[in-house]
Amino acid sequence: MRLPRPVASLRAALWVVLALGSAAIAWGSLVYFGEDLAPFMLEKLPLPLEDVWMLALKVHVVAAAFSLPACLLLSTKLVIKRTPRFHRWLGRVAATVILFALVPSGLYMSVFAKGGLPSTLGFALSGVIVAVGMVQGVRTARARRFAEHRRWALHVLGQLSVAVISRAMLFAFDAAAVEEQLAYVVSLWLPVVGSLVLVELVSRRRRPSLAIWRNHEALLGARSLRLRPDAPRAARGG
Amino acid sequence: MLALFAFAPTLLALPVAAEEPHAADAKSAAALVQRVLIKPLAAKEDDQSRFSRARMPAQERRVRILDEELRKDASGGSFVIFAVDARHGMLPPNDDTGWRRDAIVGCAYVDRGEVFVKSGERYRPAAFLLGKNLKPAAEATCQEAKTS
Repeated sequence: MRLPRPVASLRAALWVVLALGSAAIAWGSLVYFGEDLAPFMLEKLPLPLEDVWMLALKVHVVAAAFSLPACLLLSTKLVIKRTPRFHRWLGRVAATVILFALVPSGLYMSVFAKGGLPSTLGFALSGVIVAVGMVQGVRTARARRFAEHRRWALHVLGQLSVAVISRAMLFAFDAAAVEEQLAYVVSLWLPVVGSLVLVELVSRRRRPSLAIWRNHEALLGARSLRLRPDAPRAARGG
Repeated sequence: MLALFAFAPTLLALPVAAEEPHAADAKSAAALVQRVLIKPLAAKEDDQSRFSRARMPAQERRVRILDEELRKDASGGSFVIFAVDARHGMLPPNDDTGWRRDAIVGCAYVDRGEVFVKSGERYRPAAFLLGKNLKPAAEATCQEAKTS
């Protein structure tokens, strides 16, 4: 389906912003691997099991530096249509990194997040959406239900984009001298919930029909299952 | 009466003399905190990424000396407690909003030229805020000795 030009331009602009934001975060994260403690680390200390938190932070930033650019690449038409094999392999690697490194390390760090319980819950919700989205994304891709796969993959990308959007919001809030804790919580929850809602809206808008038997991919699946008994006669060729 | 007049300057000078050391201590303590903590911190923050979840660098900082008199710790060291307020936001210089009180709290040993900052319940050398992984100082540091 070809997108209207303004929507396509907006999508391309968002893609570029996220790619640049991801690069900026990765560049800024190099301080975590130096000899000195970075300001983000200093704010947290003292912590129980300090070494575990430091390890989780390092695992998280490395996993994030790979995951967001990987998901951006996976979302491009070029990779999906021209290099489907590369799409599959990159998807498998991204899923492994996200499910076994990014999400667990993020969930552990969320316990000690600035802003207390609201921040912990915000990060945890985002992590759960990413994990569920990724598992479902893999399952639907394996079942060749690509419309659903797209929806779940977009949820993963949407939540990964929170890293970029919330940092931009934090910068803006600081410039406006908004109270620090409030700024932190708002710039976390707004993109987390906003991405969730936006992806659902986009997915619903693009879905030709909610009736599963009218989806051509579902039809293919139904044929292989010798047609669903609950499908209308037209779908069964009757 | 004559004696009263003769000693009047001394008698009158007493309260002033009592205040002078405090004013001098406070001034030198503030200068020490500026030199050891605030200026190096501002220089370090110039290189800090703004695209981070860490607290944004302050636009401006001011040091307040909270003690009117020098305190003595258990080892006999004299110190004063200080607080640093930080100003955030892209506001005009004379705008007095955006100040966060007590962004940093610590103590200064003026005669030893040492500054400590509070991290959790303990105090660490000021270089900790400059990124040095320094352990908390001795428990008596910045703690007034109890007199019984």
